[in-house]
Parts: sequence; C-alpha cells; structure tokens
Amino acid sequence: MTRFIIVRILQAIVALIGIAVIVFFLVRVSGDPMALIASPNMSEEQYQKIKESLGLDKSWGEQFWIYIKDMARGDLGESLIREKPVTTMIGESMPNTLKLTVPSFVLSMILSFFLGVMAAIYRDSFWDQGVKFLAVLGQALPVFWVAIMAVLIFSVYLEWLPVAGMSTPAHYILPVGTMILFMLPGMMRLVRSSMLDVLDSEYIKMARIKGLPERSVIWKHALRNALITPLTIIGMLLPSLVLGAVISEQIFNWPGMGTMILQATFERDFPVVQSITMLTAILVLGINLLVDILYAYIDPQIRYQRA
Amino acid sequence: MSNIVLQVENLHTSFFTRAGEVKAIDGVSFYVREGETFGIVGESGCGKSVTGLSILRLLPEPAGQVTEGKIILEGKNLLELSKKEMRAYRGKMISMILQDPMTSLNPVYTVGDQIAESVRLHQDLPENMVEAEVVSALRLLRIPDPEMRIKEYPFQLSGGMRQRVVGAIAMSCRPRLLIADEPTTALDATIQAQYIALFEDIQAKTNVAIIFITHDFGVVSRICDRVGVMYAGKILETAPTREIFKAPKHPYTAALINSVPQLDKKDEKLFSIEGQPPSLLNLPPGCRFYPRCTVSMDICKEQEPPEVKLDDNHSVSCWRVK
Amino acid sequence: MFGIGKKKAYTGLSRGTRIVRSLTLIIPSIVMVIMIIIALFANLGWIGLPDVGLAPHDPNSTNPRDKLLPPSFIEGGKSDYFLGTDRLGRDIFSRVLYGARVSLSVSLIVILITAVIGTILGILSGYKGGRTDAFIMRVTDVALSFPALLLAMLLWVAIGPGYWTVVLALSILGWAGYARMIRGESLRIRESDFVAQAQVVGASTWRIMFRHIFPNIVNSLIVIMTLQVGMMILAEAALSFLGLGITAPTPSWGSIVADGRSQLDRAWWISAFPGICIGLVVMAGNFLGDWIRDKLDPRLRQL
Repeated sequence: MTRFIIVRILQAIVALIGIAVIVFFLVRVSGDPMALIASPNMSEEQYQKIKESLGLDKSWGEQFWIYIKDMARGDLGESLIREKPVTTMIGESMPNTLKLTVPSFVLSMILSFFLGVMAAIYRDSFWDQGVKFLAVLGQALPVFWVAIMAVLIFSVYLEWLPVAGMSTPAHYILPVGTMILFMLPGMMRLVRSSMLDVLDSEYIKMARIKGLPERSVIWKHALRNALITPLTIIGMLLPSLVLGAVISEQIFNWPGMGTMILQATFERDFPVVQSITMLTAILVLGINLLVDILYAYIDPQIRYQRA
Repeated sequence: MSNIVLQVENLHTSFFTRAGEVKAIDGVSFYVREGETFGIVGESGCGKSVTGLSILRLLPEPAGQVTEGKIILEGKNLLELSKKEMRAYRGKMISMILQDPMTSLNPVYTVGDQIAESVRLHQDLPENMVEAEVVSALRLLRIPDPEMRIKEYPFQLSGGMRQRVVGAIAMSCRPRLLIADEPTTALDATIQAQYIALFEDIQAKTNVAIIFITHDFGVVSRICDRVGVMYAGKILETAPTREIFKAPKHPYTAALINSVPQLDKKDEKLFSIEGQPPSLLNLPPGCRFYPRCTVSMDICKEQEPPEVKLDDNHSVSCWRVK
Repeated sequence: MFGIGKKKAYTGLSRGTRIVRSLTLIIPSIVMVIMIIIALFANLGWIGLPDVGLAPHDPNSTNPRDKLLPPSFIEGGKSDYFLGTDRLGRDIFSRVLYGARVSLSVSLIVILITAVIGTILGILSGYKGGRTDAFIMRVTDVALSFPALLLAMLLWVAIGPGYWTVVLALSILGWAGYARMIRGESLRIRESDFVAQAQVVGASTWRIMFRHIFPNIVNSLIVIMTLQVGMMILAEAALSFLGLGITAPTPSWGSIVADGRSQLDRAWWISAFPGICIGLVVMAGNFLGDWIRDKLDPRLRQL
C-alpha cells in the first residue's frame, strides 16, 4: 500500500514537470510575451526595463529554470496589469470561490448519491422517471442559459432573489444552484446505473437468501459496491467544477478566482493565467492521487494487488 | 420413513409482463423428506429456478408472483407468512446456493464477515462465540485452514473454494431445507465430483433436506434420491432415481436420459431433442411436450394428460401411460 | 428462454411503447436535419450567392430605429423581426440562424480531430499493454480531469482569440474520452483468436491494430462520436458565453445569450431563443446517440 502511494506521488511529480514544460513553452512558442505587453507608445527604455524585470532577456532554458525555482518557493510571479503578486491576487479571491464551490460540491454529491440510489431502488417508479427526466434535461440545456432564465424569473419578474452580491444567504441560492446543475445530472445518472448493476447481481440475491432485511441489503451490501465506479470518476468532475465556478461567478458578479482569471485572460495577463493553470494542474494531480487511494481503500482487490 | 420437510402443492407462479401473463410454473407438486435429496431436472427456462425462488419468496417483484398453491415447510404454509416472518425463515430454515460462485459473494467483504452476518442474524449468540460458529461452518464444508480463510476476500479464492464458502454461508445456521440451484454447473469436472461428495457428507451430518436443481441427468444419478422432470412449467414425471433411469415412463424423460453420454454404451449415438420448448405466454391446449414428442397420438394435441400414479413414489403425466 | 431476474423476461413491448421508441428516433433526427440545413443555408455566400439564404437580414447590420423590438408574435413586435432585435437593432432570428454554423462546425471539426487521436492512442494502449498502456492511461487520466476552460484561457492569452483557438482548446483534451473507451474495447478484442492468428502469421503491430482491431471497434467509435456532439456544442457555447469563443461580431449561440444578459429586464428574447436552440440540438444529439448505442453497442450503456 505504502509503495503504491509513493509510486503514485512520484508519477504525479513527473506529470507536473511535464505540464510545466508544456505550459511554459506554449506561452513562449506562440510569440514574444513582450508583444502581448508592449504598447506602441512605450519608449525603448521602458520596454527594456520591463523585459529585464520579467527576466525575458534571458535564454528560454534559464527562464524555465527560474520559473520552476520560483514556483517551488511558492512565488508565482507578478501580474503585468495589476502589479501585484499573483499569490496576493489568489489570496484575495480564493475565499469567495471556496464559499461558492464547497457548498456546491458537497450538495451536488449528497443530492446525486441520494437521488441516484433512490431512483435505482425504486426503478421505473414515478420517482425514477423524474430523476431520468431531470438528467436528460440537465445534460442538454446549457447551464449558463438556465441560470440566466432563473435570474429572469426569480430576480427580474418575481423579485424573490437578489441578482448579484454575496451578503445574505439568499444571495447564494442562484449561484450555488447554477454550480450544482453542472455536476448533478451526470453524477446522478452514473450513480443510478451503477446501483442498478449491483442490485441485479448474484451477491445481492445471496444477501436476501440469508434473510437480511432490505435495509442491510441495500445500505451494507449494495451501496459500497455501487460507490466504486462513481468514485473513480470524481476527478473528472473538476472540469465541471471549474467551468461552473467561472460561469456562476461571471453571471452573478461574484468576486472570486473565476472572475479574476477571466479578467486576466482578456487583459492577456499571462503570468496570472499561467500560474493558475499550473495550480489547477497540481489540483488535478492531487485529486487523482486521492481518488486512487480512496479507490484502493474501498475495493479490497486493488488494495491487495498493488500492496 | 422420515418426516416430510417441505411439501409443495399445486404451485403456480406467473410473470406479468407487458406482453401478458407468462406462466412460469403451472401446477407443480412435490415433497422432500428429511435427509433426502430431491432433484428437479429440465432444460433451461423450464421453471426450475423459479420454483426455488418461489419457495424462498424471492421472485423479482412486482412482475413475478405466486398465484396459486401451497408451500408447506414443517407444517407452516410459507405463502401465508408476513414479509418479516418470511425473512426469519430465510437463511435459518431454508437456504439456497446459487449457480455462479464468481459472482455470488460480495467482493468488498471478507469471507468471515459474510458468514458471520448470517450467524449474527439468526442465532442468538454472544459476540465471542460468533467466530467459532463461522469456523465450524467452514469446517462443515471441508474448507482447509478455516481460521485463515475468514480474513480473506472472495477474489483471493479459487472458484471451487468460493462455491464452498457459498455453501458455508447457506449451511451456517443448519437449515432444514437447502435449495441448490445448479451449484456445480460452473465448476470443473473434478471439482464438481468433490462438491457432490461434499453434499452427501453434509447431508449425513446435518440431515438437511436438499432440492437439487440441475439440467444434467448425469449429476442427478450421482446425488438425487428422487427426481422430478420438469418441462415448460410442469413436472411431467416423478420417481426414485434408480427407477427412472431403469424404466423412464415419459418420452421426455427417456429423451433426456438418452442425451447423457454414458461410458458403457460407447457406440450408441447421442440423442438430442428436436425443437424448442413452447412459449409460456400462450400455451396451446394439450400436452406441452406434444410438438417435440416422437410418439405422440391424436389425443395429445387436444387434451392435457392427467397425472397417473403408478405406485406411491412414481407418477407420470402422459397419455401413453395408463 | 427466460430466467429469473433477467431483463429478457420483460421484453414484450406494447404498441404504445414501440411508438414512443420510434419517436425518440424520428424527432431528434428531424431536429438535427433542420439544424444542419439552417447552418448550411443561413446564407449561400460560401457558394457565391451572398444574397440568397434563409436569414432575412444580415446578422450584423445594425438598425438604430428598430432597437430592442420584441418578437413578431408579441405585442409591439414587427413582422420583419420574427424573434425581435437586440440593443443595436440586429435581427435575432438571423443571428440565431448564423449562430448554428459556429456551433455545428466547431463541434464537428473537434469530434473528427479528437476521434482520430483518441482512437489511435486507445488502440495502441489496449493492444500494446504494459508500459505503453500505463503511460497513455496516466496521461488520459490527467486530460480527463483537466478543465478545458483553463486551457482555452491559456491559448487565448498565448495565441489570441479565434476560431482555431476554440477548436484547439477543445481538441487538446477531448481525445481522452475516446482513448479510454477504445482502450477497453481493444483490450477485449486483443484476446480473440483472429488477433492471435494474425500474430502467428507475423502481421506487423500497425497492421493488426488497423486491419484487425479497428474494424471491431468502429461501432463503439460511432456511438461515442454521436454522444460527443451534444457535449461539444455545450462546450463551445460555454466558451462563447464567457467571451472566449469566436470573437464578435460573428454570432454564436453562446455569445448571443451573453449579449442579452445586460438587457434581461427589457428584452428577455435575446437570451432566451439561442439557449433554446442549444438545448434542442444537444438533446437531439443525445437521443440519437442513445438510440445508436442501443442498436450498435448496448454494452456501452452503463458508461
């Protein structure tokens, strides 16, 4: 088990360096970063000064080395436009993003597992049909559009909910609801089908033959097996989480990381975008690692094979 | 004669599908005595597994339902029990072994956990006695190193060993009746022989009544005391195993026996039955075996043959038997 | 014939169910065909007939006198503007028709690119196994969990906005889904006798991969590709909505919805109609995908 974890951590570090190389050179291969920054009315002197301060006068190899060294120290560079360290910008916006993403993620998971399991247990019932309908609709309608229509109905016409801001719990309803729509339908569907497969299995029949009450059959024997598949793809929810956060923040003027990075993109503030991409890469690899370990914990077969 | 453990009388089970009522079991009666093995033989789809699940009342609801008949276990009609009472019978009084050992154990729990679960549920034992009981169940199935095995997961065991664990779960509370649904079909020939020997051993030790469901007459000859030959939801002939092999009365029974390869009759051509069993959705009048029967008469097409008792133990439903 | 708990026992379908089944094929097909026609014939400029087309107006011609007009079927609307106009007086109906082009063409191109890359890597991974497999699958895991949105932002900064930036952003990660599924299929086919036979007679790796394995995964590939149509349209729409898609003034459904946000209290129709179009196409694509999957490859169902 320990060896398995160590190998995975090493792999993750190699992957991270790989991504760093790709990101670093992608920004440079496509052109001189100075061209992105320089304005036509800049003097030659100013131009050189900025170039030096960003280390762009050095060779690519040297630049890459500095970039890796800085990153390892936790220095993510400085915004070109705002003249603030990227870490400061993240520090300012991250709490707001977490306030939005954490409850959304937790609620999505609880809801999708609850609804998916229930739909599978009461297969073909009215309840199940409802869940299926919700999943079909949720996977087809663009979430940003649903969010805007919700604003139209609940804020503009009914005036029940505020359009923007984050001061009261009511301000959270629409943004959190929007993010949930990104994650819920797919996950719910997967939990349902995974649970259905398990319920059809022979060991569930065996549990009933033992005389176990339905409660234990489902919560003890079925659920743990049904969780394995959905858990392995929890890492794949990250793209939805990021997209959901950016779109939700954008629609509801939420001062979080999503708004920040979107703005940085439009301003072509490459240190910001590059750093956040790298941070996301770390997050992606970290989540995958965590899922692997969790998976090994739930499925004894994996635990033993890789021990 | 020892006591009758289970008596099934005129059992009817149907599946209600969108296309209509499928009569999976259409008036089946039989009994099993203490320490006896009763075989139910037939082609796949003839309703033999449904019979087992009907007795346990584990038909997939709401589609599958027992519509008529009695299932009497030691004087109690199981069909009259409440759901809760029935649950208390399962695992304790009646148990079942399923066909595929690879999928009938829960992959995420250890062997010990899965047996202990049954023990805790049905036997009022103090917690420190549970493990001893689990080990004794594994011993009963002659599983080597039982103290080691209880900590293992199903995937660590071979197919034959898994099927023994399934047997240990089924026998853990020493039930009165064991339904074995093709327990040897998925096993290799040598393991199969061992497993059958094991059954005899268990029966000698516990005096359990066994219903042995199989499609293989070869297996029947080795383990069953009496056999019921099932076809399209009905038992066509019931008789002691030796008698049925010596002198089968129903043409279907004869055909099934002829299709078993036998070592001492090398030259004979292996017999196979032409055609398919009828659809249970719309059974035509007359004998259900009529379309495939090689010795049919005119009456077979119009009227269903009644059951004729040849003696106390042998009965058959065929117009040729008078 | 039937066993307990096996679904086969319930396959008897009533006539009503059969009709509903066939409707889930017919309606999505009609929607798809209409959308393709719209995308092709919004205007025939591309075959040298710039004055002919379904769109009644130039999608970008502004008309200050006809600002924020409601749809023609609502009081105050002009019959000239079926779905109303935006704050610059542009015809929403024409913009929505043109928008179909971006949505459909981007998703089509991305699907073609990603399917090719994903299939090659998937077969390679499944057939070769060992280290090749482990490496490709690790990369696949990362690609599957890396947000395309961030990549799109990075590319926006690095190479600037544009049609091909969007295509690239969706393609760089999009192959991973194919690779994973195709790998599973190849793994299964690798074990079959005809592959062993080919190995025995000394066929090269590439020959086995493409002459023997590929024809056997075509069905799965088609299923995945159809199911991707909806996902890619949604992805493109989300990027356009955020302003990371095709740049103005070229209309795309996502960007029209975004345009309407600031006028939500006065002109709901700007945002409403393009969103409905996205929903319709995606739903049609998903239903078609489900239908094709049930026909060609029901094993893929749980995925």
